Amino acid sequence: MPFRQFVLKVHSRCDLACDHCYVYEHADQSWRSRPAVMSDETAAWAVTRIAEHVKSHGLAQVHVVLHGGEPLLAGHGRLGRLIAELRGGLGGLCALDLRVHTNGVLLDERFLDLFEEHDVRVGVSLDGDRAANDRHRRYADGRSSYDRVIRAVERLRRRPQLYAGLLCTIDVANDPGAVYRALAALEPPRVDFLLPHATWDSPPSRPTPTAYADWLIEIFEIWSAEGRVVPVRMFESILRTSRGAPSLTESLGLEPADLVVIETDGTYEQADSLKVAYEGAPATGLEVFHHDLDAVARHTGVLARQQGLGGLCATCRACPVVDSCGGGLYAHRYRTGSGFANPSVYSADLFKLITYIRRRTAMPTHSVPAATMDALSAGFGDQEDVRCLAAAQRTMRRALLAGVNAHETPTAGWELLTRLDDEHRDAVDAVLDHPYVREWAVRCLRQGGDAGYLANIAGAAAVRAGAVAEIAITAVDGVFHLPTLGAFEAGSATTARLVAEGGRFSLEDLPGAVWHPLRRLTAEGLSVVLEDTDPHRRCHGHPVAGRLTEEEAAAWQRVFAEAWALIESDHPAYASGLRAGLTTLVPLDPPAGGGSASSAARNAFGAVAVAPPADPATLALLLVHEFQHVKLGAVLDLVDLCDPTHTGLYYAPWRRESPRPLEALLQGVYAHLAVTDFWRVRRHRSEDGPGEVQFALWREQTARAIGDLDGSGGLTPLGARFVSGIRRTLEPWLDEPVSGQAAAAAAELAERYRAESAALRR
Amino acid sequence: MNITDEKQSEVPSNVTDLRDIPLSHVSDIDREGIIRRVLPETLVERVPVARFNSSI
Repeated sequence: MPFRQFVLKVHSRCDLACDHCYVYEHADQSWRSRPAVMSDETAAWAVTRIAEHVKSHGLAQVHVVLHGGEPLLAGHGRLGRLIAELRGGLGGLCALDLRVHTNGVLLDERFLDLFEEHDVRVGVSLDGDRAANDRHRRYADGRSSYDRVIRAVERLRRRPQLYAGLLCTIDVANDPGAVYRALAALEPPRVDFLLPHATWDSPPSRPTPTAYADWLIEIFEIWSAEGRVVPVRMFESILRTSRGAPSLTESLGLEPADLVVIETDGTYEQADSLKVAYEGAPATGLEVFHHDLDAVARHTGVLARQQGLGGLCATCRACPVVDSCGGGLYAHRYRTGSGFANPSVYSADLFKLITYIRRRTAMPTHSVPAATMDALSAGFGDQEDVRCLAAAQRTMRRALLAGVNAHETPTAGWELLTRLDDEHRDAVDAVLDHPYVREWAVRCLRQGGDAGYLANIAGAAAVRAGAVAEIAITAVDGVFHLPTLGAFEAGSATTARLVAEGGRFSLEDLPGAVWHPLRRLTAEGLSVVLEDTDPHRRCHGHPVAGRLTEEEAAAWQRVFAEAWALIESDHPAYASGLRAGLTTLVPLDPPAGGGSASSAARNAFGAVAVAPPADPATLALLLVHEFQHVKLGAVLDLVDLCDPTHTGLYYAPWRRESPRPLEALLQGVYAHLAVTDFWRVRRHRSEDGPGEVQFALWREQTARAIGDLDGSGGLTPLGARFVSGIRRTLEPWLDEPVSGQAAAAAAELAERYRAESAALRR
Repeated sequence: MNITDEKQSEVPSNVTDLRDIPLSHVSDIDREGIIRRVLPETLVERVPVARFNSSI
């Protein structure tokens, strides 16, 4: 693994004499024999080594921390030269995240000018309020450092772009509430609470067995009660790792270390914190003048910190919180005799803290009743089953919307929407349930959408809520679309001011804009939106129809009502699910070569797009077919049925142009289970001539594809269970008699499809 | 009957239920978890590593 984090010890001495400092007050005393300051020559070699490492490993970004001792003791001139060398040597090769960690006492405007010029962010060590800070962070003569540090932080607050955060070493003798509030009052972008470095040989001062956990829990409670306004890296890391995400700090989690330290004399060292273990613990025996960083990366000490779970002792490996704790900071595991093969000396604290936070923040997750999963895997699913899927889709859309907002600067749209969300949740839910809200959000997150449309969503919610609102909305593809309501023609305008009150609305600056309200298709027990206004409906892989004339809409109404009657009478097993989940029908343009066209889009739950069908039976088939994709897509949003790392490609007779990935094959199987069922019933209707052949064809082809799924080795256990459900439904149909003529025609078609597929692949 | 033969009554998902969480309170963790699931390609792929933080 290449290094991506580099700690440069630019000065090995310090102007404070903190009695808890791991550099001077613990086992390793190597600072005594090192030059006080990193020379320009050593700095140049360090930059050269990092640059060659970046080039040889193709690194897109590296992080460099200027550290000490106290790095500002290097002075403005030397530090300026080093920073310029780093920017010059690495700037053209990769993104460089450059930071300095300082005790703050020397941080003046001149340093800040320098850091501003070179985009260097500053972290300051501060242990809390005056009493807490002065417990340890004093000058050698006993004077307090507090006022000077606070002045430095105030300077940083005036240049927020340089303010990286505060680092607080814990002393459980301090009042945790006072410490947290003092730090939070300085509005740091991030706070690090650091356990004082200790080992089993030299354990921390501890009045009770879990004093550090108790101290941190008190802060966690305040932090939570006050809205988690200040990011606290330790708490965030526990929350993240508890839900499977990576840790944000080296002191927690199982992530491998990719950090190396370069000392003032050019020697490479492992983690700085190892200085607390024993004399010489961080040493590698390598230095910048003769050794490249690949040599350091091969060092056994470095490799030992990259082993994840496998690198931990048996006690840690068996611990239920190991994915959050990660064994704690490597240095804290040390004990003479067993080395680092121990739990952290803070193990009891970490266990208590992590367990507490997990219990305190347990969030409910979605689940699918086993009976629902069984019904869906059989190819069906009633109203309740589909409602369960729809409920999870609401979660998806809320998360995606929050994701869009997180990538943008806060907007009036977000402000209005969150206000309505608090006051008129039903109205917001109704708008967010519109299928293409998710498609829009996905486009934004893929950098292809217009984030300004968030105001249109908020505006539509305001209208539905009957709220008073005024907001600038955005034209997308020539319309000011208001989801669930309709669209104004935009002409050449790109924005317009929507005014809403009591459910009425207008465009203040475009009073003459033509309004196209949404229309609905209704049938016995079912009403769906005839969606021909939303610009985000263009996601179905087929050209969508433009705004329909009244005659065209009336034609859709007639065929839809008849198709639905047919589904209810002849295919009732699908009707219930469709009634609960089908909300939107998007008309497509008729295919250029004739025939039928239909589509479901993964990011538009509830919508089916269809070209004008030849007859009601065709529409019934296409609705049933496409809604299978809608259901399965929603299942896949919740659980893994296929191994995402599986790379196999498979022949699918329904998509002959190219072999399909496993999940796409599963989608096709699921849809064609319903297609088979449709023709199984329809073949007995005399008016459907090809029904028998279609039944014979698709039952065989679906069965073969199920065999491919089973043999792929790419299904998860749940996926295998799901496919078993499909197979159980299909198997009896394979025994139903069909005429020899139909069987032969089906076999011929199957053969022709294979040949077509082979020809297309050549 | 072996206890392990018993059928689960619920199939769990790791998707946090956000339906009752106000939009303004959706946490980064839950949001990212869902986006990672729905759109894995949109999150910058990066090898997760231990992030340095050390006071001086």
